[in-house]
Amino acid sequence: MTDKPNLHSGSFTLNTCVLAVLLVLTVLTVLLSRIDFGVFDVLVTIVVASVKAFLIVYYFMHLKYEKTYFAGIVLLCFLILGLAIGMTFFDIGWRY
Amino acid sequence: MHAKDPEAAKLGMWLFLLTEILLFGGLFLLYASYLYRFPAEFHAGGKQLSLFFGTVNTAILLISSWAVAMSISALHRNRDSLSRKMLLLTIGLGLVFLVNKGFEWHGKIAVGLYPDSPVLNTKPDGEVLFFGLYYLMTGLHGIHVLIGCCLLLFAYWWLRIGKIHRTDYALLENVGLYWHLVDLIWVFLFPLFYLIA
Repeated sequence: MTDKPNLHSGSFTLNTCVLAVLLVLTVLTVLLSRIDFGVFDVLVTIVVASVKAFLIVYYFMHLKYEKTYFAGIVLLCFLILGLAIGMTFFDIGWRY
Repeated sequence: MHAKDPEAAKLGMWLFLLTEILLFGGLFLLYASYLYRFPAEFHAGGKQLSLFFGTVNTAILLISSWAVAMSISALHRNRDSLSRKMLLLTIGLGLVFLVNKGFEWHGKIAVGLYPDSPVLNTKPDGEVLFFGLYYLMTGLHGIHVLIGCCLLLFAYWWLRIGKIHRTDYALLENVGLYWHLVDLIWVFLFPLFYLIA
């Protein structure tokens, strides 16, 4: 076997940069929660959380280095979840 | 020696993780529906949680996620000893998270806020639901943290005895994926419970 490093993972610097961004986003979401966006409060929170989730999935969980179909099945899963949540709100939004 | 297929191993792990996302997704859906129905009560419930504990625990889990990513990167770059140290750091942070969670739950239980408690039963329906979901979702997440710590301990042991090494590391990657999922779920749990106030 060769001693050539396997590069299917982020460099130490990249990992640390991603962590720094994740921590900054955590502080940001706490600060944003102090501001009243009215009906968009939850939306703002979910958007920041989704950006954090993307960074974790793409860099830490190595989706960046996997074959494209991995990203496909992950997207499909979130699409199904989004559909379930979307359809539910389509329903309860008119019920109450 | 039997043939190994790391890509298939990872695909299998991902499929399992997707079922986990759907499991928690169902609970998020439940949370979202009740939040829509009882906004004021959920707001009052969220105010009673410690933002400090929640934020510190978020940082702890994010750093632990970084540590396990570093462990894999280190192994890929022939830094075996660093790889093992990073796994120990991950386990340590996971345990600190659980201890914090324990203090938090203890604080709530001490003031009588636990499912079906005499205090909670006098509160409005929305708050009862909020705390029910709080214990259910953070509890289920806590069990995942505990399982993750056990898996990481196995990975550490396998690294030590050479079952995981620089050319055969699918087990470490899969344990890492599980740990990141635990972090991923917390990324959504934290704002929904602690920042809703």
